[in-house]
Amino acid sequence: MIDFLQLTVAGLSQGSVYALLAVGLIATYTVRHVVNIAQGDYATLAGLGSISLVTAGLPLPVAILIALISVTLASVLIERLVIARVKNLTTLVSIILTLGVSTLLQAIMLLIWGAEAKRLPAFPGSDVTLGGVSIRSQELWMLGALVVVGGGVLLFYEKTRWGKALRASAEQPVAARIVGISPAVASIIAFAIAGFVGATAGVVSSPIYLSIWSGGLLLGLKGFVAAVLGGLVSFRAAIVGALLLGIIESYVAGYVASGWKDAVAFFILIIVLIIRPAGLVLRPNAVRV
Amino acid sequence: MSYLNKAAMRSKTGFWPNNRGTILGVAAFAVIIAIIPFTASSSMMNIAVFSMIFALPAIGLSLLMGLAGQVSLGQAAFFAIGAYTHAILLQKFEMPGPVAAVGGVVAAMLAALLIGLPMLRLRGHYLALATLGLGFIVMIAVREWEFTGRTTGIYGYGRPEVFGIPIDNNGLFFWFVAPFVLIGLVLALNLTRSRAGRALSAVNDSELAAESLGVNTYALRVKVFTLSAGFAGLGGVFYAYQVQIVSPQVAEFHVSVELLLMVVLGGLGSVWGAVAGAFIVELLSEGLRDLIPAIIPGATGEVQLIGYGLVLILVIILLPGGLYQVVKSAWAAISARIGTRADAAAKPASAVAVDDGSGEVPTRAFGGLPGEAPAGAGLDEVADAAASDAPIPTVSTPVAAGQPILEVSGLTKRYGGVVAVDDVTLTVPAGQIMGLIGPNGAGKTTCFNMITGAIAPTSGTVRFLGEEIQGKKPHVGADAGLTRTFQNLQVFSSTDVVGNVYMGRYRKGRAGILRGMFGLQGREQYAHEEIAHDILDSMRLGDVAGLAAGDLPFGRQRMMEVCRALAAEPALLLLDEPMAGLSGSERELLAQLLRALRDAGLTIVLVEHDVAQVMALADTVAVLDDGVLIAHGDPESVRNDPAVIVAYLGTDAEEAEAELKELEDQS
Amino acid sequence: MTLAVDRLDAGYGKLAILHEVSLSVAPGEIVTVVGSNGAGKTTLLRALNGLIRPTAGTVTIDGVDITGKPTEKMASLGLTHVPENRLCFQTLSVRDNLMLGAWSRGGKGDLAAVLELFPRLQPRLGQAAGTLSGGEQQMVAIGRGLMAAPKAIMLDEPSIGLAPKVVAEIMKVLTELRGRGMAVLLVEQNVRASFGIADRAVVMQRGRVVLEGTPGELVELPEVRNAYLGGAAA
Repeated sequence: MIDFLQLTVAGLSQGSVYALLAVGLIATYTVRHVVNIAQGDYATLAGLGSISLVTAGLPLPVAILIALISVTLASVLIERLVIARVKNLTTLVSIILTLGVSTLLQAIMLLIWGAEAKRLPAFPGSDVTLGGVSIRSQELWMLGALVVVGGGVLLFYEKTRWGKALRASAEQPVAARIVGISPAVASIIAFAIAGFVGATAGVVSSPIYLSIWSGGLLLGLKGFVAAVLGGLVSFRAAIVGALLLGIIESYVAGYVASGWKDAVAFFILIIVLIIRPAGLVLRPNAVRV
Repeated sequence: MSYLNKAAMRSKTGFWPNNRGTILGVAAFAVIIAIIPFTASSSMMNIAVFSMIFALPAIGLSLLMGLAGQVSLGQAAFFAIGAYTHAILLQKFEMPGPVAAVGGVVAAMLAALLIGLPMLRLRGHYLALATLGLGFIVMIAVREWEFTGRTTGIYGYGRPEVFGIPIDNNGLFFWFVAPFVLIGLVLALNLTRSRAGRALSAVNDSELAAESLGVNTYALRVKVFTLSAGFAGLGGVFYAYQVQIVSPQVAEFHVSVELLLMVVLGGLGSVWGAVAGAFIVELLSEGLRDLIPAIIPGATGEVQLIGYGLVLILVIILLPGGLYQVVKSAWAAISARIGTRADAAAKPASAVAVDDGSGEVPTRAFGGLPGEAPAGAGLDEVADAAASDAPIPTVSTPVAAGQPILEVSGLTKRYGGVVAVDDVTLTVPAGQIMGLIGPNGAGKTTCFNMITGAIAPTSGTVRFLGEEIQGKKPHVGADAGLTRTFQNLQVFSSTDVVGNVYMGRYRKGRAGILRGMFGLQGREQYAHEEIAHDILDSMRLGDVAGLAAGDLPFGRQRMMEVCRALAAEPALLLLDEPMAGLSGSERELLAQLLRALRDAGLTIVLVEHDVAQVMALADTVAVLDDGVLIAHGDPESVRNDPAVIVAYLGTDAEEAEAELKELEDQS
Repeated sequence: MTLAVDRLDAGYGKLAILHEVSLSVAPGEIVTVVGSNGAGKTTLLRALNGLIRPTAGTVTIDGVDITGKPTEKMASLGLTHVPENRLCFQTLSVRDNLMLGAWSRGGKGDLAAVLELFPRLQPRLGQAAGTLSGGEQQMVAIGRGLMAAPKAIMLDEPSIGLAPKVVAEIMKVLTELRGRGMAVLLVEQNVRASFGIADRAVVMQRGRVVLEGTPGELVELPEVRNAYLGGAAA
């Protein structure tokens, strides 16, 4: 029983990383209909970047802050330099295009940081033990990041003028332009959100799960699986899906074999697509907060 | 038009597999293949062998992307399944090489079928992501499974032997794999030009129009996807032979990226491009592996990825058509220059090349250079000529005149709280023209779309020739003889006019993917093209048969769509606002044709905004208002129905009476 | 003239739809554009509000050239467009829909004035626009356009799919706007409704303006009667 709870906690913390990535994927998918294969690479980039800054002697919070801002800017830059350059960007072409971006980012990380996995120092705090289940402080940080950043994005979409403009842009792009919302600005904001949440996921998970140049793809894809569980439009459903995915992975790793852990998400993806394809795609163009 | 003229036109339209070009190309390629082992250095030979091996999955992927309009990001998974199956059958079951090879290919195809059957029902990007997922599953499975040798993999099987000669060096291996690449290339080229291939490229232009002509998109896509995996599996078989150890790295995602890059770089959907892409990417990969550590000391691992990423991004942004487009444009420019010179000598001023290679003309369905356009003048004159002397296209009359051919009962469509079509019941008797009219937003098009299968009704039934077809895909009705045209033109812009009308013959053809690949359907295709030409002639479009469909003026495109629908020899023809956008003389021509077709026994349903035309043409008229059938009868009684006048004028009944009186006074 | 269109050509790619279309709408005037399907009415509105770029000619608002400006700039230039099929933001509330209409003015729009025109929207402010009836959604779409406080408003088939009573209600609002000095350009198939309120009418055929005049003059012409009543042609 303790094992079970222990695995659940590990799964939830891992799931919170997937959840943040899913939030980023939905942000860009709804506004631009781009499935951003490079979403997970934002996480690795932020992780490796902050590790270097800490190694260079910067305090951890400063290093993290710089990493978050830089990756957010990088995402916007990618939007401007790559995504916005393609006319008639279909989702299918966007997959090939962002696959190119992802490959490029990975290669750059390989050249800068090398092939070994690196670890960011753990965030301050002490581990907690609850009824025999020990919870690492970093795991609390990960869940906390989801609550604060994920919740923040939700609030942004639900309550703010700009958030509503993004939803309007996603749902009725023509009408949004008519009222004066610039599609380019909407797209930039969506990519900024995607960059920020991706970077957040990367820095909070690095102390436990490490950062390695090639790790982003798998992370991003798991975020995508969670996003599909939310029909690619619903943030809440995607977050729940991501946490579930993390837990199931954790059980498979704990009770079956750790090597199979990474295959779980794709079995789920394929099974879900087979069983309920129509149920997943609620309204292709609406954002469900 | 004499047969000779037709034959001359055909040779120019490039309708048929460009046999000369293909044969020349394949022959040149064969010569190069024969020579390479004598001239290449040993490191180049290594690259050449891997290029050939990877050309196979790349050809498969290019078919998937070009024909099915789908992307697989897990092509490496099928490659790996082929390689592992082959190696296991050889090493653990000691099967003979050919049997093991077939096993490898079949295993890859079965895996594709398993994924494709559910995924290809979904739109667009799901297959891409599902295959990506499959790639990871396969990689993890072979790494974790004892049977596949975990991280070590499978090794210790022999090299292939041909006629007792062991294939034990790169030169021999190159010759060993080359015939398969060559045959694969020819089969793939044949497929792109076959009935199935043309149907799929029509689907990429307009899925709705293609389905309405009887194309079962889903079934064709599943077949192409399975075939594409078969190519990958075959590549895997050779890979297993060449490297002598199959380990999980063959299933790595980078291999899928590499294959995707080959196809994107070569030109989406171009089979030749895929082969060229395979060679270029292998060279690039080798070059980068040497170059990057030289620039950046200490760089190790998959450093070639930086090139892959850059090239992939740049090609999509700057060169969406890939190398194929570049070569094609260059070739068109050269041949236009030569062609103009030759023409200028032969018949000055009359000939104008359509395609100047500027790339603005939509690409024709694979192969064949565009024909020459007749001069633009005179089109209107042709349209003005009476059509009475023209032969009527064949119509099929499976039901005796007057018997119901289409029965619609309780047809209803709700969108949320809005009822677009409300409990419509009507019967269309065979051999008549029925007009369906109503104010804008009355639900005419919704009704029409439910009858043809473009959308599923909320409730109610549609019986065509006694079979219930509601909620089924458009190709089901189309296959039974229900054909439609579209309010907003749905032209197959990647082919010429005769190619469009040829697609109307789809349901009359039988050749499948296999016959297409082996090029065994020429006779059938010829016969159908002949019919397509006859129909165009009868509709005064014979002179533009060789033009790109998108280049025709609006009115003639519409007539072309009618030709396309008639080519299917429908039992019931549904026309959605066929008169919109036509000039007066074109309308007259079309009206005459419809009457003649009706007299020949064809049943026609006409949705039309132009009430006057409908009243003059139809035997019965049905009126929809606000989704409800408010009147149905002969034109005279419908015209005088107060409810209809209220619907059209939005006035109350009393005013309508006065309006009616006024109208009668006028006439 | 608030809105002036001078010899406008436009189309899609190589396909030219509009040919030398000229028309003008004065402040406090309703001009209706009529014509059969495919006549180019919707293309005209799309060219006016920048969704497609005109190939020749000019569009001005109070003398300011706005030809070919991007759609998202049009609201701040004083031109708003109530598109065909309403295009409400379905999952957003009615209030949010209306407030987004004032986007070009930094979100500061006169909500009270719009609710005065459409009192039926008042109790529905908190409801998602997608749950409204067709007529109410049309009101939201018009109200959204008005929140930008435009000089000229263009409407594409506002009566489509609506009951005659609701159509009358909407037409009444348009006369109200005219009373406030706004220039109204109304594209309608429901000629009866639009001729009832319009000051002038423009008939389009195959991408050209073929007739222009007061509704009273035009309604007597056989071309117009035939196109909409049909019966007279037989």
